[in-house]
Amino acid sequence: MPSFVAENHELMQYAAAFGLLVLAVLVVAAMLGLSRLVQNRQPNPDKLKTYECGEDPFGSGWMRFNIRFYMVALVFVLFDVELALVFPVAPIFRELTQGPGGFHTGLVVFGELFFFVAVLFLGLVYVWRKGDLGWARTLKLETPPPSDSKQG
Amino acid sequence: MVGFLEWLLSCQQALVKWLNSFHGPETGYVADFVGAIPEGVFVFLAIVIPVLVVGLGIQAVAGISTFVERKVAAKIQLRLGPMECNVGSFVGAFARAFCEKAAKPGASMGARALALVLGPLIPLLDALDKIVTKRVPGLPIFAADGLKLIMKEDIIPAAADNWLFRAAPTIVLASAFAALACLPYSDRFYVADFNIGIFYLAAVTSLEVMGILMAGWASNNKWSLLGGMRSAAQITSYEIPAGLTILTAMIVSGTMSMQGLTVSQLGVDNWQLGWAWNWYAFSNPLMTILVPIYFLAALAECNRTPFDIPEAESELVSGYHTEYSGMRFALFFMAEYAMMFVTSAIAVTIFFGGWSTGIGVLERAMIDGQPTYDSVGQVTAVHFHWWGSLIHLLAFLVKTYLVVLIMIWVRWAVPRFRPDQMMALCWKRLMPIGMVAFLGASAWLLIRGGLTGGSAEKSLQISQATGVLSLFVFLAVLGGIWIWWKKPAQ
Repeated sequence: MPSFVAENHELMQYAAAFGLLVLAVLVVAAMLGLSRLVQNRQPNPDKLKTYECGEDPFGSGWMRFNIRFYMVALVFVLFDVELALVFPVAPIFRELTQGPGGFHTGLVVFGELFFFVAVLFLGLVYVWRKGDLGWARTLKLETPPPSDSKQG
Repeated sequence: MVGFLEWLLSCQQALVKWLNSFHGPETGYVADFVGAIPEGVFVFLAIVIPVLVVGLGIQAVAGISTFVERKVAAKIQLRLGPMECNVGSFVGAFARAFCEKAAKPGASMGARALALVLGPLIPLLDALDKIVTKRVPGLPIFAADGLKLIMKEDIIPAAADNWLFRAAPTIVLASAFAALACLPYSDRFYVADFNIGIFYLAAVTSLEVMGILMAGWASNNKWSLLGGMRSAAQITSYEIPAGLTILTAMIVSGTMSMQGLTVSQLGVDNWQLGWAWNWYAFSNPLMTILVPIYFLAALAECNRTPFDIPEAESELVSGYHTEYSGMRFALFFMAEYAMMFVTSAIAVTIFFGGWSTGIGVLERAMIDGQPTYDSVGQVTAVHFHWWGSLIHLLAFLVKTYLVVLIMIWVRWAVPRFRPDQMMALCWKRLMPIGMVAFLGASAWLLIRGGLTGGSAEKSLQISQATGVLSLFVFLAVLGGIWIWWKKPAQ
């Protein structure tokens, strides 16, 4: 085996990943270029208008609105970190447990894994009970609004 | 890729040797030239050629998938178009018209020359037309659709963010393309085999959401924005069940490399080597539970029905690609089909034995030399004959495309979820099940380690026992499919 490959075996493979990224950009460029060659371009203000079911667009699309699942996005970050932290353990777990005397090492590692996942599971249960996984979270007011309020 | 480089270099040496065997001055010069080609050129070729083959191959797969999808939809929904539509004599009629035109006095010499070639071919083209219209009706729709997409005007709305709008389809496509790098196409023919393969795949495939979010935001359109936001919630959420599945596969196999995952599903080297019941979907009950979970997560990550709420055409016009037209729109679809192929390939690798054919006798016949084992008798590395690698390539593509077909089937059989149902399914059902399966798989490995105490003999006994059990599971699954298939239609 040649020296260059022997020394950079693992690293060199990533050149293929990079090559595919470059190829994706080239494919996009080629397809759009081909399309540009044969298409008939006649833009006019009506055509370039934002689509809003045939009406004139009402304001900008960049507006504030309730994205609903923002709490889920926050919880997602926690769980994704969980995955990232468990990933290093997973590939060596088999090796740890299957060797001679692996049971005791494995027991410690499994205990840690179990504790880690259990804490997150409790977190999931908490979020679930709080109702943050549902669609429109029912807001229970701490104190009932005064009955004479004009706001209602 | 490394194997390919070695092969290229050995070809160079063989060529030099062959040229030198003539002892002539001319061949001597050529031999010197060939011998002097620096190694870097071959390294470059060894990277570029597989990348081109895979990248252009996926485009073909994506193109064919759109056609297949139409056919399946037509079968399921009794659509007439793709089952009936044909234009009769198409290529033949074109050739005939061309020849008639060329026979007229004013025709150019080039047209006449071409007509001379085309004329005798007309009966052949007619026969081709007959076969195409009879065997694959609906092909003209496919061709016309491609033509339409190329010729359509590429509109970028005046209010849109120009650069983000242009970049979005590229990012979506790039994420699907980058994932192609470490799929285990075969035991010999693969682009790369990263030692963190499946982790890389999980990372790269989730990049797609950035492009979709970008498209939704850049369009400056309310429908697009809603679609993009829905997609962000959906893809990020379903990444966790998918991640848990991948994690369990890693725990069970003890490797992150895609080739390693596949080899570990060949099983122990006894009478069971290479049979289909060694695949994790059958040999490990916890992995069996995870099959539907991963499948649902894969559907959601590809934005396929029943999880196509980001582009729900009956609610959001077309979701995040409302403002896209022509070729840019086609790029999103190409990325979707490429992503379907990628996620199916991952599912096949972690559940259904990757490139393994599942026929033990055949696998054993294809093995070249002796496999190597780890301390508990599990096959860790194995070398196959080159024709075996070709069979593996075929097996992998067939298995992967079967999963893609199931995805297509699901699209036309199941109605769309509501966004809150979709989130509830992910967080309240799939996540707890996935976590329990993950812990269960680790617990089983721990118990197994305790039972064997590290002795290879006891481990082999356990493997025998569990192997027989998984054989029964496998037969039960096959029997269930058979009964379901034979069930009379209502």
